[in-house]
Amino acid sequence: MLCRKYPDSGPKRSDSLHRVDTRRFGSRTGQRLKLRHRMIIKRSAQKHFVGTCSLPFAIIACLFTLNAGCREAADVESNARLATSPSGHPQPATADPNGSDESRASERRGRLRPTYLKRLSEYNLFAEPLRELTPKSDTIAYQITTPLFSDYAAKHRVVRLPAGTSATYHPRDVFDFPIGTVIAKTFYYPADMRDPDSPRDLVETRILIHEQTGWVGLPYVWNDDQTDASLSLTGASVDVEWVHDDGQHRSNTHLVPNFNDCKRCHQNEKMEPIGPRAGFLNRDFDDIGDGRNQIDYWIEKKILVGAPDRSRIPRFAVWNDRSTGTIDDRARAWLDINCTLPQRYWSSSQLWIAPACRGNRSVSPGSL
Amino acid sequence: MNRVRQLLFVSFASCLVLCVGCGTRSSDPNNSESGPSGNVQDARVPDADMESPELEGALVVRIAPGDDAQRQAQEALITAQPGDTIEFEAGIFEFSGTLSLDGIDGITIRGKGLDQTILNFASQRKGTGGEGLLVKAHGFTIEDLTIQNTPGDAIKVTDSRDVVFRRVRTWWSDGASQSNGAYGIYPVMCDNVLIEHCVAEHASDAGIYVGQSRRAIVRRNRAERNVAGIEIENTIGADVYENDAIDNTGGILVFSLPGLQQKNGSQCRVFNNRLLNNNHVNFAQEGAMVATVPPGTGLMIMANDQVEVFGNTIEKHKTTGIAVISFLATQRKFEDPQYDPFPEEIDIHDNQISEAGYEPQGLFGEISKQAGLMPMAEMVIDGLFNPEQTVNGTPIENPAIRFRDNGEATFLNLGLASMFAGGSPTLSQDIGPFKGGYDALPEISGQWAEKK
Repeated sequence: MLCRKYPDSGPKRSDSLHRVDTRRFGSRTGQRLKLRHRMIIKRSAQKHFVGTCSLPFAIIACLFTLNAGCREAADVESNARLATSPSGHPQPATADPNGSDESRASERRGRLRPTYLKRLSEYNLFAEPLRELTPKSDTIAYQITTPLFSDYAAKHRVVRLPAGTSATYHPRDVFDFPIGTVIAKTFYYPADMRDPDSPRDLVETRILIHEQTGWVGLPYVWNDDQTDASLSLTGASVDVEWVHDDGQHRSNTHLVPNFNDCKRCHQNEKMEPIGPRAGFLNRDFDDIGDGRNQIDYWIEKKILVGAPDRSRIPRFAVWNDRSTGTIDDRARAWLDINCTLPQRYWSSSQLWIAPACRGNRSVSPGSL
Repeated sequence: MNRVRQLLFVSFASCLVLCVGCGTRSSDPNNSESGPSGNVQDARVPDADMESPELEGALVVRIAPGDDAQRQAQEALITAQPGDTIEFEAGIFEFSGTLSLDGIDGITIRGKGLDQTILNFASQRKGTGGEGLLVKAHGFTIEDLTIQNTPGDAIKVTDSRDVVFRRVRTWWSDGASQSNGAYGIYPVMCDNVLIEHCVAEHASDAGIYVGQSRRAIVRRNRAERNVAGIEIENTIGADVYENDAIDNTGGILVFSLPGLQQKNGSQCRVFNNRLLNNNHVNFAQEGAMVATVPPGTGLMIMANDQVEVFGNTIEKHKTTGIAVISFLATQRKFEDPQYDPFPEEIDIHDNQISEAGYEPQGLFGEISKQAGLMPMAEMVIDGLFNPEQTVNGTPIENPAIRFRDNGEATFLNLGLASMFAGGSPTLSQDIGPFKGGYDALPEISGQWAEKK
């Protein structure tokens, strides 16, 4: 178990060592120091394991031993679930003979809950090397008109539908994606925002999977070597630095949401994606070249059906581009994506505020 | 690109339980549709919906203070299975982000005692939510710990059924301040809530708040130096008893506000509480509803229907002991055709009210002073009534607010109707037209409130 400390605001025994690890990735020195850094962290995690959590883990370990015989059945169940994830070709996670955390947790009562893929690479969304984020042939990159502001992080989005399936168009709501659809959004910071070719620091990839039971959100955190990202149900915090588009050096502690945090924005009546709606997708995608409209492209790729003539497809404004709409249009698009304020809920006089953003109170009367 | 990573590799398998909402709501707490456990009158029917904490194989996961406590606690809350207990050892835990539980039923979070286990969120980062604990899960119990110094609400529980807070303290340790979080103990849009033996201090809105819920019991708690000590808002069926509300701006508030998902609070009993010296300066954030509450208010009922207030001891309030007002008194507009802004079927009896109205604050105080009525009164109404008085659409008999057997307590009808018509308020100290009572409201009870 590689386990790094959290929260990072508290006292840090290896604080100075964390600071050592500030260097440009790619440099040989950097790689070497990184390895050292990780080993130290690992040691401290093991120490912690023995120290503060021995009792619960001992209990879990006992249960693990008792339930060892359930492993086979558990894997069958796990397989069944994974079978619903299409084209993923992932192997089900096999129980770790050493009694890893996931096997202890999942087997402690002989009942296995769904096991999520541990690594981003297992989804087979991207060609190697993963860090290039080059979509495989069954995966489509896309952009939206007005994106969520995420502390200046740049984002890369892909969607993959099960082979031979398609999403159904809806004029307002999120397209009706088939079970098995995977959406991946990767957050990264270019070293220099003025230079699109500058090295980029991949921080996290958020996965939305459309399961039989509904959409599930999972956070994956990229490793220091930028070779893969690992599932991190409890989220993470990652210090990032970059040169901003004004030439200024900037830094931030990027917060990777935990499993529950995903629901803060994505779950109103139910968990669902926010971006892939007609109004946000109705734009040209820079990387497709030839100026093609994304919705046209999706129709052409047969992953979208039921769309009307393009003239009848809504288009949400680009919040910072005056040519795309009135101030009202641009404000609405911004609020929609940033505060999960689906415009279908709006009336002329009242904003519908998402649960994550509202205080459960609606009025502020004058003094009594 | 330079960076330092402090990240978490979690290899626990996760369990996915999609969150389930509160289910259908009926308009009458006596006809619960959300399960037998919530039935007001039949407390003996076993609750089939909730997994019992004695579930076979249920685990106790223990968390000790330390650098890794945040990760361990959040991991435990994500990977828990129904019936598990997450136990925090004694000591001070420093947390940098909200802890959340979502969709896993029957979880208990427990400390080693309200003064022994302190969950401190003072160093919480921006962008992590602001709450200390955020819960959306049925059958949730939290007990025997303190949650302190959260940037936002201390414990927020939404859309959950069978929720118990027991021997929990929420507070901001630097004292009353506008920068404190709004709510301490904060269940909202829940069914079957029990809050008992808790302590809530220094909240910039309400120390203990139950909002848009059905069937709540708030008993034997202490709320001190909050803006609102205890607030019941847009809730149907609440018993608030044997609490101490001391040195808040307003001791206990029973409000029904427009524009909320659950409309028109009703059926609330406030009895055998001690409301003392609730004269604290109002430190609510500007724009908050409770920013309007005049300091020195013991109990305020606004627009809520069917409130029975009895057996309370209400002492030393500079504005008034009990105020019963309509939402119209706030002079705020509202657009909510389903909203009833008038309080109806209010029954105030057998209370001991003393030393109230000696330095009345706010609009009511101004009116009273201008009329030369000092002290104002121990019981005040705004004198605004619905021309078509109804409770849930059924016509009621006048008067809508009734008083009886409140000892020597003085009374004032502010007569705001004539003021709103353009003239002066028509003040009256004649309690005669408002003498009377109603049948007792039913007790709120249920199996969820008996679990230990």
